[in-house]
Amino acid sequence: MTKNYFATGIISKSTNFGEADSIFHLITKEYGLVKAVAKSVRKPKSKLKGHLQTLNHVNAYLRKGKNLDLITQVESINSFNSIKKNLTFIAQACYMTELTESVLSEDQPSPELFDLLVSSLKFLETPKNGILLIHCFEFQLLALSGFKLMFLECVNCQKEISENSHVFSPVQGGVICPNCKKTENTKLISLNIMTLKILRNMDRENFSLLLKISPPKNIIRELSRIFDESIKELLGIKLNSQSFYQTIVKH
Amino acid sequence: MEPINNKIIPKPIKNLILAFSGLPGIGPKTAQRLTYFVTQKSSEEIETLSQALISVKNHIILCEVCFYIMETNPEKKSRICLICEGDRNQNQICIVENPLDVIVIENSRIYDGLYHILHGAISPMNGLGPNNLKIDSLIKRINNNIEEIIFATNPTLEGEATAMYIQELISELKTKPTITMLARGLPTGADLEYSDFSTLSNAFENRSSFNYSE
Repeated sequence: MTKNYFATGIISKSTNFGEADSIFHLITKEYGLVKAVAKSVRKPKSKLKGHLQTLNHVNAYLRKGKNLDLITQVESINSFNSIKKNLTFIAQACYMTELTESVLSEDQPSPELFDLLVSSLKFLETPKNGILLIHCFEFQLLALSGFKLMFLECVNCQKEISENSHVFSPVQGGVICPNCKKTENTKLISLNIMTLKILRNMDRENFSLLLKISPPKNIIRELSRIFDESIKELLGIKLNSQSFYQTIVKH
Repeated sequence: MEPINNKIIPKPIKNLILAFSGLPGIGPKTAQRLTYFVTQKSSEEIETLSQALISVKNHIILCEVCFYIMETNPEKKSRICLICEGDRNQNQICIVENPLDVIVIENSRIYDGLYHILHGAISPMNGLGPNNLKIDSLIKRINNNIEEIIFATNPTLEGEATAMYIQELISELKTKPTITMLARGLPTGADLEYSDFSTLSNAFENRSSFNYSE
């Protein structure tokens, strides 16, 4: 990385710093997670202020610093205004963004993760984005992070899953067949047939089909539990935005 | 092993640098400069500073109605601030994020209603949810006397999310005051060339008519 560099990214967080500065976290395509300071951005006449809002997709020009890099110029590509006018979309977008940031490291780019986040945020802007968008996002994020959940075969014996009473193991990261269930010691979640069908379509990457359907509440609850437990076990993280997201979804 | 230069720094100096470093926005260099400043000042000046710090913690409380900062008064049992007690328009409540926002609005002399200070904004990614703010008490304040709720939260994602959340709670109440929000758009002195899409979009949406002079 040269002293001055360019990055395209999503603003994921900002923290006040000093009298009028702020430190921003950017999820970038080129460099992974970047933390940089914008000088005097909290003053009314700051030219950067409007562009550096949380969730904005921006082109940023930065300069390498000793401790923190400096944002010298920025322009917005997409402010996602439609998301910001809806409380549920805000909660979902914050959750997806924080989840992406939690699996990224500084100076370790993941263009696929970045593209996944941007395309998911764009999809959230569309009028009928489907309640399964979040779970499709979680499934793909886990896969890109090296934890692809398995729903087509038993994660233990690799035999093909048939329509039967199956369980899901968050620790193993997949469906366990009735045979292997007898000897499985980890926490297990029983799966409704409809939930399993949805998960198998995720494994086959039929996302455009999944985003059109609206499953009943009990199936949504089961899916939420599967992904909450998987993220906790496989990524070992607890997200700040998760409780707000769950509050809004319940309401 | 401790770095060599730390051994030559007296313990009271080290402790004060550490204490200053704990303040928001104060890094190690600024903490060192502030500590050196303290050593240059007279005992009386430093005594005044330390008394002012202690006084804030001992004598400042929050108003039990609007949560603005106020001084304790042993002669009065109630904890109601001068704004809530004052001769003001009792039918409007202006919602702000911080006590400093009240000072700025009061200095403008443009508003004479009541306030409600939330002490923050919903910030999902920083773990700040509705339970961390003074929202429940706001909802309890809204009765038939309240005609207008003015949202003066910051025009940021967090401020807008907070306003939307509270609006949804108010919409579930039996009494439905008028809900307004401070105008969004171009700030005075702004350069259109550097404006972002959100600011321009708000400015166009909220544009006002020109009145021809007769």
